[in-house]
Amino acid sequence: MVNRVVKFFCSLRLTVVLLTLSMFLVFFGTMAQVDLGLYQAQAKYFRSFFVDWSPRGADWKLPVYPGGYLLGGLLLINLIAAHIKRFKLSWSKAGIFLIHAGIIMLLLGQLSTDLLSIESRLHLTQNQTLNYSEADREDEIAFINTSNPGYDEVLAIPCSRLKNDLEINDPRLPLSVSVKKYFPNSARVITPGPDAPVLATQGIGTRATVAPAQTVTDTDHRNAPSAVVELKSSGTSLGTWLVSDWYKDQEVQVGTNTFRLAMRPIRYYKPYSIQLLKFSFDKYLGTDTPKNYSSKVRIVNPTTKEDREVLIYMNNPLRYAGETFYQASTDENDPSATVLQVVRNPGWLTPYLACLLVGGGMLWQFLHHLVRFIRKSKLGVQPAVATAAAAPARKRNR
Amino acid sequence: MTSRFFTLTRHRFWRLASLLALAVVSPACHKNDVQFYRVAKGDADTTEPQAPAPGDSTDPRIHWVVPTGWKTLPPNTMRVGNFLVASDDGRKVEISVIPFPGPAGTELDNVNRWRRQINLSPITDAEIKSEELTIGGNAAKLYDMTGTEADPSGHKTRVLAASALVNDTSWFFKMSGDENLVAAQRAAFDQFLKSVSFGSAAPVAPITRSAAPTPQTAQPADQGNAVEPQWDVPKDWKPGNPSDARKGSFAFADNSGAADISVTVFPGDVGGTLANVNRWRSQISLQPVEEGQLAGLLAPLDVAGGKAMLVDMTGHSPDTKKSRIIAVSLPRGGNTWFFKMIGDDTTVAGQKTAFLKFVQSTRLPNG
Repeated sequence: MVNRVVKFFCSLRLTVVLLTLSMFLVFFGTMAQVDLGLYQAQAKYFRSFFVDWSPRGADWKLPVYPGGYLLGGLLLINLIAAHIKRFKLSWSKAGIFLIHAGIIMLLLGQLSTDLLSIESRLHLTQNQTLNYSEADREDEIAFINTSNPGYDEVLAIPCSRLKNDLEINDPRLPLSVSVKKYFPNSARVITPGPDAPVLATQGIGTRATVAPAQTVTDTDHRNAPSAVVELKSSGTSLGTWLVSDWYKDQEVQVGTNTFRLAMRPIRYYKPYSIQLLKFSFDKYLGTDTPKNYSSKVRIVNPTTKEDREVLIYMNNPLRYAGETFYQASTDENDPSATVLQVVRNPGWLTPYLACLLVGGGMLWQFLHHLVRFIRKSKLGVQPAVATAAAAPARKRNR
Repeated sequence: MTSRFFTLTRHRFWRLASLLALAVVSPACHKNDVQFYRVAKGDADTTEPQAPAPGDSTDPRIHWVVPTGWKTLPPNTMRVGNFLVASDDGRKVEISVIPFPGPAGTELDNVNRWRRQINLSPITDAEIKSEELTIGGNAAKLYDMTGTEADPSGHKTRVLAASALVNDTSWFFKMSGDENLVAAQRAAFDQFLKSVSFGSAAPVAPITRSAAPTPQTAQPADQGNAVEPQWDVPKDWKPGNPSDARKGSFAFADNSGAADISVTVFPGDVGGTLANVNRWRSQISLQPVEEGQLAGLLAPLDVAGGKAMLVDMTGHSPDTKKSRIIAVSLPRGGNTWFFKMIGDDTTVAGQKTAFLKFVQSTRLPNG
């Protein structure tokens, strides 16, 4: 049985089948972006073990095709298994070894990028200093205990964990939280009319409200989640509160402690701060065509005692403390503000190393054959192909 | 020798595969964990706008500080500010803040409208008395009038009304109610007016601090490419209060009063017909009805692509003025569309035909 399994994973036929399935997956996943948008198509086709299908209106799903994780995982196992089973170390095969190692590194590197990389944005107005960046699309509910004069304690719950009727009892939070309603996307209702029922008994939810909305998956928009939560302190209800990406933080008094309650993009705090000194947006003379975006920023890191200025511009990102800051965008509402994309990718070196390994392996194989060919030529041994090709000609010359 | 070394035993193969999977997947599992951390005060955004002070407006166009003792009521369709002061003996004073697009009638129209509300006869331009003041740095006028009729307990009704035209929006600040209580709250009303400041029309959502993709509420999936309704707006109607919840917002005013017309859409049936009708009834101070009484209130209305439900009810506003509401609800594609006209009875009655024509002219997405 075990032999059969090992044989299955080592088979070349499996490689061909997986590559064919991958080809169709890429095709269908790309086409699906038309209807689903980039992010949902990625999640459905590539960041999944199976591609699910369900009839319109049904609440059940049927896995109908292997997803990216499954195909990638099987390919990786197949490659490693076949390589290990068949590999015989010799100088003549060392290049192939390097090529395979490079491909394995590429596959693992991409998986690690997918799972571990974090992309966020740093939006800075003129002279603004921030020590955190914010997620593009994911939000969190944050309970911020502001009672301590020296620091704030933050308990942040990602919205991906929220659902109706969820109870949150965390020992680090002197409150219990009951999620009454959760809207993954919502519409803002500033002056609630009669058709927008009041959702909360405390805070901003008594004066303003939201309406549930269908989630969006295209690249130009993002969801604005909202939730209605009931807060309890020592079993006593503090009322229901509306927390929404649309509205600002609210204060909740619990005994002598003051909390701020916020629904906001997930924050990634840093041990250093960045200040925008100047944002420049150059255009070609007499046109509106962008020529260059650049942000002059100041980095202050108390740990390393750094205090320096850096210019970030297109194709010249700042790499600092394991993160890369790219000049990403501008703010339509504020021409003096900048938007930097912040990428933390622990596996960022793997594609470069993988390419080096594959390139080195190919070079090794080529040189190895070339050297052997030259050696044989010098010894007077004609290559088999050349000899065979020359044979009929000699016959004709006779 | 070397080939033997590199020939994998089955054990080694599975061990290696498991380790690889574990190494990659285990850190990723923590990506969506609950986070707990400390942030030094002042380390965060030093220039970030602060949360609005308690009691501030929820409308980004205006800010204020609510005086002590005023009870903040939920804003409604017309009022962006809505407050109540009640005395222990049951006397009440209402304070409202209402924006209207444009000049919203002449000074005389407005003064006579307030006078009518307390059963005073109309006056002429020459008889208008007002105080000059500034609200949020803009020139404004304050009018003070007291009714002549007393209620059974001997109290008269007094109205203090201020108006200012700011950025092509007319803002009306009105305090009305028991004469003595209004007098007692006069200082608080002045203080409230002094605290008013006008902001930009930019939304208050925190998203505006970031140039991340704009939060977007998608159109219902079954609406296809045509995502906005189309209609023929009566020529007398003006654009009304903008609101994200409204697909359409219009206002109409004449000598008899004002009417607000709104078009909204919500997923599902928003609580069902009975809940909707009773909600509308509560807006014009009518008692709720039971399920069995519904049939007598509802009338079918032919609209493009089907039948809608029409309700026409008359009640009174909080200031006891006769009010009327005409509402049409139209289920379509899993959502319910609401067309509603609410306002002074005479004005709404005069606009009923235009309103129904407006509803019937509406072409809903894919409708």
